[in-house]
Amino acid sequence: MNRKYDNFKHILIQNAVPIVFLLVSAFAIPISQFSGTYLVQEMLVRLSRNSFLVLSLLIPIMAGMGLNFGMVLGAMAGQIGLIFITDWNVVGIYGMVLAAIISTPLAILLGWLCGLILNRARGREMVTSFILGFFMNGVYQLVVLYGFGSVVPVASQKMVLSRGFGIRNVTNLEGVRKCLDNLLPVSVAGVEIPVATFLIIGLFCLFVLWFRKTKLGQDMRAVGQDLDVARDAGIPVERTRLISIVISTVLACYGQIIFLQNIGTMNTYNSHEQAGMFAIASLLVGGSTVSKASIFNVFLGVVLFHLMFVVSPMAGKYLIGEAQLGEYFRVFVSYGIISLALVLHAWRRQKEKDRTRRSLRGLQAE
Amino acid sequence: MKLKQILVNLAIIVFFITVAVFCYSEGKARNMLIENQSFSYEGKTYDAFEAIEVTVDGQDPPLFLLEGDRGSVNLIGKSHVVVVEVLDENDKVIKTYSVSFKSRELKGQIINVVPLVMEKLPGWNRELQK
Repeated sequence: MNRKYDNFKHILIQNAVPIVFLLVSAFAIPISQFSGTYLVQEMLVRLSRNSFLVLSLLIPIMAGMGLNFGMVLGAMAGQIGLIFITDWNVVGIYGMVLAAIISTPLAILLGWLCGLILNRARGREMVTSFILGFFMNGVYQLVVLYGFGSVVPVASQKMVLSRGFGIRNVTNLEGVRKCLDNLLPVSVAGVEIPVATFLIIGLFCLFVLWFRKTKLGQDMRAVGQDLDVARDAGIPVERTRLISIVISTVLACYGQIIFLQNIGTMNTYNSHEQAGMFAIASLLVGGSTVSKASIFNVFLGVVLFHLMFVVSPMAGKYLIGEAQLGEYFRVFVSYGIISLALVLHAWRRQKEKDRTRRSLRGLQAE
Repeated sequence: MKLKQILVNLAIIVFFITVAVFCYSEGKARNMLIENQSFSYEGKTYDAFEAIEVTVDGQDPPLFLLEGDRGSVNLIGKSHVVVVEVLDENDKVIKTYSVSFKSRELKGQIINVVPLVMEKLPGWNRELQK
């Protein structure tokens, strides 16, 4: 009986974050008064928009590098590709592919730099990559605000600031807007499904599953479990870790392109900033940890996190009675859940440690 | 680095450059002005159509142009088909022209449908005078 209770408690602790979010959503959905069709449509759109970005976090977790806050570097690379294609007026799916090709070498370079730095900050990868994101944000702003139009030629006057150089705050991505989502349009009972985007996400999931079975994937898992053991086994630890960050950064770059083609407009200086934070929060909400994440966690996390995003403003409005307060409620909830996810994650780790210690003592007693 | 590895890396780079060039040429869009203006060539004057509907590369909705009108379209890719439907006073189609051209034939931003449908008389495409 005690053992059953202990197992039940363990399952609850393991899934505390998604359970809390499920409960909050179950409370907020009826208050928000949204219809089921609307919520399904919104979730499909947000799954197609965000899943690729969140999936890009899986590989560094596999390599034991935690949550890659450095994915914003990839997002910046993707945005630079999008600035170029907007300037050249290359539209549609061709424009999107061209943006991905242009930004790939940049993402590889940034990922490589990030990997080098993270190899020197072993054990503190998350905070280092987080701060690295801020540093590179400065470099990105310098390049886009001063380099474009002066060093890098920009033909389109609509994109350049009135002073003659620097890109405007908002870049209109009308040429690539929803080009991937509408490539294979399917509508079921009034709900539009972006099949092409989901096919790409599906291919990415297959890639992750395949990659785990490759030699490099196995090496990454070994490195993730124990660095010293992996090194003794002859695995080039630093190189493996560096490759995981490069892959994650490149995939984050593609994820940001997919994200922005869905939105259709780019906040030139801010769009990348929240990419990492929201992707990581989604993954944590899905029940993953810093050291363990699965494809299921990605989809569950995106649905739960964005369900909260959609319902919280209206729920706040109907609860409090004012739209403005509903908006505050949305901001409070969205940032609050990130903190909650991280706090619950730390608490769960502590509980896990206690449980391991207890079971060890139990084994010794027997 | 082994020779084979270098060759494979070069092949990958060449492949991506080729895809990029293909995407650029196929996805490049040009903002063009389509006009329905009277036109003179070798002393002969061709009158503008009273009313026409112009469909460029199947884009919907078509441009409705009266005599002397001008409209804007986005041309995407290398090859284009312009369908000009001449309308009567009841807006019924009385004649349809279909003309194809390549992007490399374009010399400027303005396309005049009158010489275009007359087997592309010289001057069907010209620069915008600023």
